[in-house]
Amino acid sequence: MTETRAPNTLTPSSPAVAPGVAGAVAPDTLLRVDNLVKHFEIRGGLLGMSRVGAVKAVDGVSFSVRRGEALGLVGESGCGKTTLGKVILRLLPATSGRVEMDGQVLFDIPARGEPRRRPVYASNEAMKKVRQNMQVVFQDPYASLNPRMSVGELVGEGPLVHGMTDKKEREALVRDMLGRVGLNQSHIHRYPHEFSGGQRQRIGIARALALHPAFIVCDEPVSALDVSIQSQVLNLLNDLQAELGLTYLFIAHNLAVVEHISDRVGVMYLGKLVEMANVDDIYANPRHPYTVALLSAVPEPDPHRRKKRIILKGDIPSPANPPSGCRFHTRCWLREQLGRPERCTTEEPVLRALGSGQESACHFAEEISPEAVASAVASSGPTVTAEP
Amino acid sequence: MATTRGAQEALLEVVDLRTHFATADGLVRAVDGVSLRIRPGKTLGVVGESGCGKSITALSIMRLIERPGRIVSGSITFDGQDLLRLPEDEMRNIRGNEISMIFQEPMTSLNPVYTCGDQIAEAVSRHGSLTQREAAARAVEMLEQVGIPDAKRRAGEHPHQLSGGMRQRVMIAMALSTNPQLLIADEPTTALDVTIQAQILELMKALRERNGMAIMLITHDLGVVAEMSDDVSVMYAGKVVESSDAITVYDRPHHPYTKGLLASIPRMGARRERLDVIKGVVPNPLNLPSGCLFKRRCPYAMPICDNAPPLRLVAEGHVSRCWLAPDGGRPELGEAPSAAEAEAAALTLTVANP
Amino acid sequence: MVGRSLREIIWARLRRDRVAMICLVILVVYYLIGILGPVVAGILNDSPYTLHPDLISEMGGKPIAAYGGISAAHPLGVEWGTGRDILAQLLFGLRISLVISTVATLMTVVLGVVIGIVAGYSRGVTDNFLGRLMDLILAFPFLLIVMSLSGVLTQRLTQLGVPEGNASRILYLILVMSFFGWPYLARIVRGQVLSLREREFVEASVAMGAGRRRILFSEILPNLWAPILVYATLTLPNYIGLEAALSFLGVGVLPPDVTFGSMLANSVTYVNVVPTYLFIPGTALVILVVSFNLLGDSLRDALDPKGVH
Repeated sequence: MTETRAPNTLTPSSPAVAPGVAGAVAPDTLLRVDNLVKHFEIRGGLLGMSRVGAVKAVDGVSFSVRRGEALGLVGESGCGKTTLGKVILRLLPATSGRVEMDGQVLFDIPARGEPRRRPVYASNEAMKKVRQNMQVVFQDPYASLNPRMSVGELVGEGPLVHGMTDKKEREALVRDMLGRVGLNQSHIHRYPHEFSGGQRQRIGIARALALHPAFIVCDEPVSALDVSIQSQVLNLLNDLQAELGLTYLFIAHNLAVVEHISDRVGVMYLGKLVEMANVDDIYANPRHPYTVALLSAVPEPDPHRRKKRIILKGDIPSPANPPSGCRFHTRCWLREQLGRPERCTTEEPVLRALGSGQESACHFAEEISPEAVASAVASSGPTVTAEP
Repeated sequence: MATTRGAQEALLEVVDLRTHFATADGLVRAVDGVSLRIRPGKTLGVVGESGCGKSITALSIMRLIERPGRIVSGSITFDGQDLLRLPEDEMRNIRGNEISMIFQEPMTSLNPVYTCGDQIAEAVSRHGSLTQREAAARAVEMLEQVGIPDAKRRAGEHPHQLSGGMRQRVMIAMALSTNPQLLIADEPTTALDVTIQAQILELMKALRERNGMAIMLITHDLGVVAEMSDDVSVMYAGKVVESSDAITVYDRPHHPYTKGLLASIPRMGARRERLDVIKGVVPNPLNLPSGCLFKRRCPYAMPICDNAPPLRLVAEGHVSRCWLAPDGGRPELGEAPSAAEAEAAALTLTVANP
Repeated sequence: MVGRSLREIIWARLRRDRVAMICLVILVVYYLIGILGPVVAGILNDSPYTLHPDLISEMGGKPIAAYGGISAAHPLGVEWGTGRDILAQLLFGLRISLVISTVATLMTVVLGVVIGIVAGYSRGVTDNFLGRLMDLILAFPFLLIVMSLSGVLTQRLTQLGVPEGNASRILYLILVMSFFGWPYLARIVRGQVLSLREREFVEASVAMGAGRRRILFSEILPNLWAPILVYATLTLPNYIGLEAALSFLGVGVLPPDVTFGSMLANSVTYVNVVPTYLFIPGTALVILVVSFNLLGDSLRDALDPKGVH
């Protein structure tokens, strides 16, 4: 990756820098997530009463999303990106942390070790109001549509729940939404099983739009779709964002897709944000060894650019038992190069702002250089022969 | 490189394969005229979207098609013999011995009640005359070869104790334990994370190098194909629509579907405001359009497309199932032959030049 | 294929399934007879309570005509010892059998679905408690308890105001059958609810702001109809057979009322001499049970979501 692309030297000095966690809330911040933790308890014992451990799916994540931007979240399975989305939406209860959406605190639960205080939750009425403003598009266009409901019922469900009881009015709204997402308005009485995967995903998007939300969590919205359909849906999401001024939290594992749609990108590993930056910076000039390796691992659809990559050793550790210190240290190529500094195993790095305006959670982010990457590439994996 | 190819013997040659499924709703022509050629020691990437028939092609080669499916016609020549004419017991000998297959989800192809070592040992001893102990030792050796650390201990573990990447390594170890000449890999890395995918692809490359085996790599991921393949065949709705060497297919695609696919995927480092799209959806296999199967989605569609195009030679070693002129322009009026005539001509071309 | 709901598709599939349609017709006929039985018997100018001493021998009560007294007036023969018409007995017996099995099935379904949904949706302690309760009920030796409690409980029912005699005995049968039957369905429903509530379309509805009632009744329940329907069509014939077995064992209905079970029970004494006594109610019972079972299987196929896309 880094060999094929010149480092971006044009980092703008605009307010593109993500507002730090401790900083004041910028006026254009729509969503703010502070120190969010979600642990899934593993229960054991005769009646499942005793706690034997916890999967630390999300373990202290903070970021904010500005109005009108698309924030991409990438990471591999088990990194907690989907859980994070669901906790923000309050589809899963958080273990601790605070989420604020458009000025409304959804919940504020003290972390363990913090001074004791009563957790705060938005009331049911407040929550219902927030839900109108905050919608979700799911990954699986088959599982996310109730097979027993017609398109009209599916898309009209939100408005109905929120008090649009007039049937005619609702139908007009549904037709409008279907038109917006590129579906035939006469399909309103059809059922999900009559549609292809791409069309179903459009129905899912129409359902999310029906409440006129400002913010949409897109959880892997194209990864279940065929290649030729993916681009249709991605363009649709782009158009809708421009047209309606939407804000996206775009969760995906496909780095090319995330790059295409996002303004800023956060990279997650084992429940932590390890890097966060503007999309151009992070792809051209990653500042965390995991991001470097992740970008290097993506095979590109160009046989001329067959590249030698950084092959990470071993598997992703279990989030039930993450490594000490920096969670990436067990697979880190940079740590090997630096002679295994002890700090990596003892001290947990925090996301910190680098000079370039990027944020990285690596103690040695400054050591990442093209030379270091090249030498990591050279030392990893078996040699690949050139084209015959 | 295209000039040197015609002379090379094919390890596997599939000609006009048709595999149909008689379902309750009608006949599904899952594979309907697939011709492929795999050179010894080389990798053929077979790309296509879900339902294009790429996996059914692989299962047809292995002769693992079960009712209501049936191989209707075509020939599959492997190492000089037509697999479709072999008696079942000889086919069984080829399967797993000379042609091995790995699948997308290793968990479903590994038996959960046996240890990984036992399963590899069984595969080894089924095709050779090894004692139990030799087979077990060979199993551990194979696990080491595919880069499984602490192979002796891992051999004693059950599949569910391993991660997805480890399981795929075990599958590969099992597939390679008999030194096959051809490995059919059906979406081998689709279920894996990208850093694990990189490990597995690297492993496959290294093993390909060492064992000199050919690989038929089936995937929807154009990146993986570009990374791994010497030759590429693109499939659409049960047919091969374009075949050539990888560089040609990616640099000078001829078929509008291939062009559309390549233009529609987002690429890292090449942000665009909008992605190009292929309009419409894959046709319903129960209700295929007449003539060219791609015409309804094709930006170049013209009247002649109502006749089914044959695979036509557009350059040396480069065939495309499209009426467009070899340079990609509109064909001169009257230049295109009648469909039947062209089909006959193209079949011979296919055989001569994949 | 335009705008067809799942229900319409399932119905279309059933329509195409010849076995299912034949079974459905048979069952409709059975239920019609069950409802209209007394009317039919009235037209035939007979009832199971009318004795025909002229048709049986004075010594031993054996029907005089061949094959258990088959004649033009009594096409299926008459009973040994009383001369009561077998056809009329069938017509009346079917009614009682159908009432018992249908009502018991309905009660089983209601109990099973309600408790299953509660267990599946609440999870946690409630679910644990209900789960253990189901285990407990399923662990009871059913036949033993039904037989030993029959006397006490029917008496209790009469004390509660249920008319004495067969009315309370029928109610008793219905109650025990549903009491011991619901846990099976509740387990199925609980499992379905557990998986449904994790489905993304339920999450989508929550994200939309839908309340608990809407989630349960609009999102989850409509997706439960398929397994419930299939389970009911397979439970009903079970209960018909169970009623027959219990009547056979003496727990069921007492003479002069008859059910399929009591007819079969009586026939055993004479089976060597008059096999039609066993054969006639046996055939009627088998046709009924098999029709239900085949319809249940066809429904299961028709409802299979794998076929619906």
